[in-house]
Amino acid sequence: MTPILECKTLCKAYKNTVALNNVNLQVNPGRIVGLLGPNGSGKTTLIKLTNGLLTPTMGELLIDGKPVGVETKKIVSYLPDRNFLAQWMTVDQMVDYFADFYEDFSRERADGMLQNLAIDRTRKIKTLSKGNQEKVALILVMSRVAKLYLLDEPIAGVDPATRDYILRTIISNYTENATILISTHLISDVEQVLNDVIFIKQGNVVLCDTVDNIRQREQKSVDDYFREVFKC
Amino acid sequence: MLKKLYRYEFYSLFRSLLPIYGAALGFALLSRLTYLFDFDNLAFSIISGMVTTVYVFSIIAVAIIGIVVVVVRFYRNLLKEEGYLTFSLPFTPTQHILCKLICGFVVILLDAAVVILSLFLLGVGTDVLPMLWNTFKEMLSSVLEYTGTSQLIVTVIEIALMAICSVIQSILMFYASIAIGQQFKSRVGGAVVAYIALYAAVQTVNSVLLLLVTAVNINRLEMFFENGVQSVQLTLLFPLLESIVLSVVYFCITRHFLTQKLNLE
Repeated sequence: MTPILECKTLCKAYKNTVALNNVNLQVNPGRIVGLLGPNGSGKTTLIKLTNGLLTPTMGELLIDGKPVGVETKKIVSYLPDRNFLAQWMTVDQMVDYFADFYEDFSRERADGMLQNLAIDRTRKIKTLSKGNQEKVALILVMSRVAKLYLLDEPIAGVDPATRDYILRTIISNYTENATILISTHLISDVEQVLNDVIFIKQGNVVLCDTVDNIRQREQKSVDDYFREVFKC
Repeated sequence: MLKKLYRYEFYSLFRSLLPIYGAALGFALLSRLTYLFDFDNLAFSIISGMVTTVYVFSIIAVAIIGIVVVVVRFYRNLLKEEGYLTFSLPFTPTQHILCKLICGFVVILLDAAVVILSLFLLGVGTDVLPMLWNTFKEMLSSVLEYTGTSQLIVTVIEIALMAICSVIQSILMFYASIAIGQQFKSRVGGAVVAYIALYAAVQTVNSVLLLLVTAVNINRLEMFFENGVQSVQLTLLFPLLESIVLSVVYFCITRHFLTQKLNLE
């Protein structure tokens, strides 16, 4: 089975910092994976590299066996940790934009979710509240029938009700063969939905295991184990 | 799929430019209409003067805002938050740069077309247009007499190519500056500094080249010139080649920074 995401001695260095240091990693299809680590540990860098927004300093990164490029962007659905929607477009125009550029975009799925949230589709993105903008972004990203979803801090900075909605949306739109990589430091909220976890610390992958294995081996929740590993 | 990228690019550019184009042409027409009536009335004269002033400002706006919209679009769509979406689309950075360049070039062409059309509207029904046409015909025939048709065509093609390359070079110089500027903490400040640095570098190279050419005995070049027309063609050839070389350099700089050193906000 070809891993959906594979890093081989992957390094990314900025001017004065090493963001990722010799990362070797394999993520298999059909898993919900938590990319867990404190702020500045390299989570966003890894996700940006996976989506081709950064170029590795060294090493190799493969998506479904292919190097990052146009072909991999067709199968990766990416939710960045900031508001990336075109503010001047209406919700409807944004839906058309996704439908035009991504062959795997399901209009039905997007329509259904937008209807459930009663979001006015004729409104411009910039006129929506911050919470609704984040929901629209998530709806668009999860409306793709992608092979790999990269969700960078999808639940950071939102209220608990929205947090629940986001996690419900992720779970209900999850197809059997798809992989979801969720980057977060709010572990207790996502632990319930995860199959596997990757602990990342100062650019190094310190753990890559299933949630069940961790619970069994450590006799504690992933959240508690995280606190132990990343104790300041 | 690439067609859609161009469609969205044009839509994004023209949603802010079309109203300005419309205003410029509308005020040109209105200004022309006010000249049709010869009222000896102070209020009418004031209104007529105001319409003409607004027309002049709208033409200046067309000339300035076109390039501003093109540059701002490049910055916002590729290097601000929207860049996360743009660079996640299944296209290469080269395709994005080319799309922005071609659409930006069309905008600059349309800017010029709107200015010319508005001047035409202003001159419709007056003696100015026939007079200009007659002057143009006279000039053309005297130039043809001197150069011959084939030489004139070559020169016109050369001038047209130079104009096209200059516009492309100017747009790419902005793109390269912005691409370099994103490496700095203050992106806009960095872009301004990069623009000044690129400009200074080009001027320095130009000065050195000029010195080198002067150092060569200029008389030795004269044998290449059969007549004045060829000397004009040869003189135009240098800036044309320079434009092409600089365009390629700016394109490569932009591409390098957007692929290897992308630094989204």
